[in-house]
Amino acid sequence: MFLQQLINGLMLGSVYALIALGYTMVYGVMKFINFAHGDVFMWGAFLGLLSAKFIGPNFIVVLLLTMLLTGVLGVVIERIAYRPLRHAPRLVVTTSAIGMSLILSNLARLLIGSETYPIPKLLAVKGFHLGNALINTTQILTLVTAVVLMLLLQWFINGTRYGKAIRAASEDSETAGLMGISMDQVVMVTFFIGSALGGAAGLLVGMYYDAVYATMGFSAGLKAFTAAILGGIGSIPGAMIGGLILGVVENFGASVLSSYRDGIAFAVMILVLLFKPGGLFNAFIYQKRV
Amino acid sequence: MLTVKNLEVSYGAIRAVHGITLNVEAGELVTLIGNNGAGKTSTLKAITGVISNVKGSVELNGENITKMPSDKIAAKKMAMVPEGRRVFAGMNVRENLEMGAYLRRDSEVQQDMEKVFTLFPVLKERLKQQAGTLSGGEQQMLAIGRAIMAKPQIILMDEPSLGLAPIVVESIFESIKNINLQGIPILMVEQNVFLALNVADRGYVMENGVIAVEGMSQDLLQNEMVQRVYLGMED
Ligand SMILES: Nc1ncnc2c1ncn2[C@@H]1O[C@H](COP(=O)(O)OP(=O)(O)OP(=O)(O)O)[C@@H](O)[C@H]1O
Ligand SMILES: [Mg+2]
Repeated sequence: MFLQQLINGLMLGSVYALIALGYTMVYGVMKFINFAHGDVFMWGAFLGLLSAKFIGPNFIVVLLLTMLLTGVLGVVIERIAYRPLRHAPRLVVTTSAIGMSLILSNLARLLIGSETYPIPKLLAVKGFHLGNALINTTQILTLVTAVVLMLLLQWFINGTRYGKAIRAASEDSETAGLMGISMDQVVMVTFFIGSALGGAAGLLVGMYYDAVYATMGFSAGLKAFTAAILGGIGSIPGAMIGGLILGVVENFGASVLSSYRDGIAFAVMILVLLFKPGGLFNAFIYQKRV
Repeated sequence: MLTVKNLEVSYGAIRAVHGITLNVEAGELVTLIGNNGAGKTSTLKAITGVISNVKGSVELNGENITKMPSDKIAAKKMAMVPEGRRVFAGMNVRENLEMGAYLRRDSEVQQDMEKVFTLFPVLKERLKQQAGTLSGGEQQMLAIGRAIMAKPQIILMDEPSLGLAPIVVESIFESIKNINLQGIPILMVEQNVFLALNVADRGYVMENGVIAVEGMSQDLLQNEMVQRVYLGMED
């Protein structure tokens, strides 16, 4: 039972982590919460569904196409809703994000309706016994994909020129500009990656529950946001760890208090904000100024 | 090299710099001195494109760069050592130096890093250390090293002596003089008037947003007003 809950929790958590990365990366660079990100995740699930229909049973290609499309969606959203407000107060940008979220979710309801769609099978589902726990191929695929994407992101952020530029701009955009780093480029790359990861999460969740629907972004978005806060908003490792912890806590919590499943995440958020408002990895710990 | 004409800088309705004119020629070390709030940082920020609410003109080698965004100005090979150092605290020493060379694609980046280590050997020992955990003096060296990594045509520095112990200040000024002697022109904002005028070729004294006096360093050191106001000498 314990092992089963742990596996389920890690799987769910790895998806929260993927979504949380989008919140934390955008916050890091632009210092506002992109409340439209949950809707990007939902659109990612639909783009994944379309990609799966179009490509057929080839998981890797479907995943890459989904990420590309969702990444572009994120870049377009930034152009329309946030770039014109680059120098506006953060409250204004946040308001624009909420507006964008309403537009995206209503657009989904309009175009897609209130039905639930299954995702075409991309691989044969088989179950395995792991001790006394049961684990299936979709779960393994979800966990492995999420972990691989997170490792790739770590490599990109710490090992490449653009990745380092994003870190520099997150710490101090004014000084990054003096180094020749273009804020427009940094923001674009950040939105592309954050949204692409959200799209991957959308596809994985859609495959796991074999269900894609217009309102699926709301609670997943809020929980991933909680994971980002738990890890320390702005911190990339924080979002990863925060997502995994939240997934595990939620699963164990739900096994005791099953009717409060969704409440557990928010209880965690309240506790974090009360006792450790900077999160586990406070991203701004070094940002003291002379 | 760098020519600033009638530069005005405003924050909203408040004007901080009221039309100043200054220039830096090839090979020169020029200092801009003045008390707190005189408008020195505002001047440097206007030149480097950090603030855009400016009037007047800034030319680099005859090219008008007024109101260009700072990343475009950096691409013109103007490097800045900002007030308060502003190293990327969460990045290590090597990454900070790499950020200085962000726009470079040539093959001499590694060589220039070695040059920085010759100038500041302590940075080599601290390559993997997070910049935020360096001492103030080491951070200042890193900020200067980061500017050198851009292979700049000119470096602007904002109060490199800020908050450092006197003995560290002297060694930092010595390094700055060394960099300048290798042929890089420098415009250095300072409040440490005596030491600044001792290393600089020329100086401008800024008061309330205007240039009050300018001249060769040795003349400024003899100037009666400079002695009374900035060097604390009584007669
Ligand atoms: N962001 C800002 N908004 C409003 N006023 C500002 C801003 N930055 C500077 N000022 C004002 O402009 C004037 C000049 O400031 P500036 O920072 O250029 O002075 P400074 O000569 O660099 O001083 P210091 O030696 O203390 O660094 C000051 O009166 C200051 O209050
Ligand atoms: Mg200043």
